[in-house]
This record gives sequence, structure tokens and C-alpha cells, in this order.
Amino acid sequence: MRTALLSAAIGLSSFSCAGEDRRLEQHEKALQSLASTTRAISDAWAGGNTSGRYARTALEQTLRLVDQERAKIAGRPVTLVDPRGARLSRQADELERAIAQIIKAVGESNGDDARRIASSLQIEPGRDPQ
Amino acid sequence: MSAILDLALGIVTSIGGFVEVGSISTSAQAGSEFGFQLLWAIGLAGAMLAFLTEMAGRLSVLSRRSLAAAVRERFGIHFQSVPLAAELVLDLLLLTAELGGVAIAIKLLTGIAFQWWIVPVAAIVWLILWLSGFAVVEHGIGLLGLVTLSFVWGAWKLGADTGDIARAFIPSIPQHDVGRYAFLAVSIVGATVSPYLVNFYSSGTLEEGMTQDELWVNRVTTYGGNMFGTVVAMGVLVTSAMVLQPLHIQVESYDQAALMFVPPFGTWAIPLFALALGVGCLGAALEISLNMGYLLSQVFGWSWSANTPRVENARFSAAFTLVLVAAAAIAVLGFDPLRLTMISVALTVVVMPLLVLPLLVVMNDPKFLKDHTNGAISNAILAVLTVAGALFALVIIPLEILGG
Repeated sequence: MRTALLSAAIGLSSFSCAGEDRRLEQHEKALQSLASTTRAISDAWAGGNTSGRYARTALEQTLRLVDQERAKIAGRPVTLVDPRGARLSRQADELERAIAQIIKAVGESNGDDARRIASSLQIEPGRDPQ
Repeated sequence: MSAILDLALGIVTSIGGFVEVGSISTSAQAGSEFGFQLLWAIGLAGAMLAFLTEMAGRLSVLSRRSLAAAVRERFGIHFQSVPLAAELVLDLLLLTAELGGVAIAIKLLTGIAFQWWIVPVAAIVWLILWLSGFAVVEHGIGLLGLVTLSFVWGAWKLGADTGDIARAFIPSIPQHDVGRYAFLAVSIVGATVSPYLVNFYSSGTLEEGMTQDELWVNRVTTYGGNMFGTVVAMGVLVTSAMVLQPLHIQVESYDQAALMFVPPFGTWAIPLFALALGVGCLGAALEISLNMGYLLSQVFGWSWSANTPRVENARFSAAFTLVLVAAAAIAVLGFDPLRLTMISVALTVVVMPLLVLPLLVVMNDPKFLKDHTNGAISNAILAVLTVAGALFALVIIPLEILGG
């Protein structure tokens, strides 16, 4: 009976850990996607392929999506307690600031700044950005 | 010659309502996350839709009743009230998403938030429906919908490998996110096999006065037209796969999806994507609104036709007007159109058995089909679709939680 209970507890905690790992992986992929989106929009605008109007509204939409992702990470204490989750949360903050800086650069028609900021964006689970 | 031109027009304009917010969003997501791997799902969904619309057309031509009217007559209003209520809710959500799609397309060009465009777009849809006959809605907007061929053009310009594309028609298990893959596969079916398309086509054959001698036209138009639309939806997936997947961009907004046009079209990227999205969604919005008028009129026995002055069919006109107002009211609240689209395609899958099962019964009733009832193969396919539809409905919610 004790063995069965112990096995069940180990199984449940393994399942829970796997679930948390999966959630962190999804957050990481989502943030990577949004970082890539930011780079793609910035490159398209700086390269003259899209208007400043599109770049601004697309970056604002991306900013909203990053904010939603950050809220999802921050909304679960167990995720924030995990060092990987805490790092992702900080990187989401950094990404939001970077997007805001790029929006400013677009407003000032400063393609060089936009490209520079966008090219330095990186989301990794074990490392802080820039 | 005239018959051939009519046939060609019918096939080509079938694109209207096919490539719209649901198929664009699901195909774009599928391409960006799984490359070409879900092409088979689009092919399967297109074949399913062709199969169902051919039957609905055949039913209407032979019985001189729409699908909704035939089901009501066969099963009674008490049974009909369940699929009717389900389809009304579904169509309302879809229409809201389509109005949102048009508004987002305008936002891409103007930079002004999409919510400001909802009311003007709904007003334009209403005006077109109020002033135009069926041919304008079906063929006029359908011809404009040819702009969605830009997705196919984009895939061609990017040099998509035909061998890789051909291999993708064999279903395969992905190496990652199996739950998400399954969810997208089911969503693609939901985005394509919309009940409104089947009902709308059924009503359309009556509007156009198709006769028994033209049953072959019905077959060629449904299969040819749906396959044509399927190719365009595949173009969305392939273009997304070639541009967005290497960048690891998961499509969560139409602003992101528009980026797929930058490599093939350069400075024309955003205007062309906006045009394709806007016209595709406009066509679908027109068809869904009209379908709501058809559906309510046919179930409750009101007079209906898009080819007579609107004032002569007051309740039909009131029905499509009210549904437009309701959809616009919901859309203006600012719900994310992409998220709304994914919810509506999931609901479509849940509602699908309510469409397919009555169709299975009616298609075997000689009272409606005379000597043209379904053969054994058609019945077998329809039975499989009914079971598949029920299974999809059971798994879609868990898949939405796991992978959506």
C-alpha cells in the first residue's frame, strides 16, 4: 500500500514537472516567435518594403501580444519561482522595451536604429537578452 | 459556348467564400508551425466540402427545395430547431470574424484600429445585399476573389519544391507538438466544411433556376470550384511555410501573417495581402449574411429570394439585416478576430454531425431525390463523415486545451 502510494506520488509529480516543462517551452517559443516577428517587421520597413504606417501598427500589435505572453508567465507563481520562468518573464519585459524603442525609431524614420535594436533581440531559456 | 462560359464562371467564382478568414488563418498557422505537413488536411477538407455541396445541389435541383426546407419537411420543426439554433450561433460568430477580417485588412492599409471600420464594412455588406441580385453576390464578388490567387502566385515565386508538396499529401506524424498538429488538422476541416457553404450553395441552385438537365453542371461546378478554392488555400499554407516557418514565426495576428508576402512581392506585400484578405472576407460576409436570411426563411416558410426586390420579402430582408447588426455589434467590442475565428472553426466541427446526419437521411429519400438517391459508395462516405464529424466534435475541445 505504501509502495503504491509512493509510486502514485512520483508519477503525479513527474507528470506535473513534464507539464511545467511543456508550458515553459511554449512560452519560450511564443516569445521567440514575437522576437522574430519584431525583426521581420523592422527589416521589412528598414528595407523599404513596407510603410511606416504598417510597421507601427504591426509593432504595436506585437507589443500587445508580448504583454499578453508576459501576463501568462507572471500569472502562475510556480512559473515565476522556476528560474527559467523568471528569466522568460524578464526577457518578455526586455522585448517590450525593445519594441517600444523600435516604434520610436520608426516614428523618427531612423532605419539604422530600428535594425540595430531588432538584430540584437534574442530569446533563450538559459540566457538574458542583449 | 454560353454553357461553357457559365460553367467556367461557376467554377472560378466558387472561390468566393472559400478563401476567407477561417481558411487564411488556419492555413497560415499550419504552414508557419508545420511546414507543408498539413497540406493533406486541406485536400481532404476540400474534397469533403465538394462532396457535401454536390449532394446539397442535387437535392435542391431535384426536389425544388433547399437543404434546410427538405430537412424541416422530413424531420419536423422540433428536430430542425436544434441544428438551426446551432447554425445560427455559428454563422453569427463566423460573420463577426469575417467583418473583423475586412476591417483588419483596411487597418493594414490605413493604420487605423480595426474596430472603427466594423460599422462602415457592415453597412457596405448590407448595401450590396439590399441593392444586388444573387448573381452580383455570387459571381461579382467571386470574380474579385480571384485576387486570392496571389497566395498561389507567391508560392510559385518562392520556388516551392513540387516534390516536397506532393509528399505532403500523405499524412505524417510531426516530430513536435502532436496535439497542436492534430488541433490544426481538425481546425482546417472546420474552417473549410462550413455548414453555411452547403446551405448557401443549395439555395443558390434554386436562385439560379438550375434544372435536372444541368445536374452535370452541379457536379462539375462543385468539384471543380471547390478544388480551385482548395488550391488557393494550399497556396496560403505553402507561402506561410516557406517564409514564416524558417523565421520561427507562429501566426497569432494578421499583421504577422502579412509578412509572408514580403519576400515574393516586396513593396506590394502589404497592399496585396490586405486586398486578398479583405475581398475574401467580404465575399464570405455577403454569403453568410444572405445564408442567414435563406435559412430562417426556408425553415419558417417565409418567401425568400435575392432576385426580387427586398421589400417584397420583408422577413427575409429583416433576417439578414438583423444578423448583420448583431455581428457588427459584437465585432465593434474589439474581440480579436483571429481568436474568434479559431473558436468558430472549433464550433463548426462540433456542429458538423448535425449537418451531415440529416443529409444522409434526406439523400436516400426518393420523395426528394426521385431516381437520384445516393448510391452505396456515397452513403458509405457520408456515414464515415458522420462518424468522423462526431469524433472530431468529441476531441476538438481537449485538443483546443492541449494544442490550441
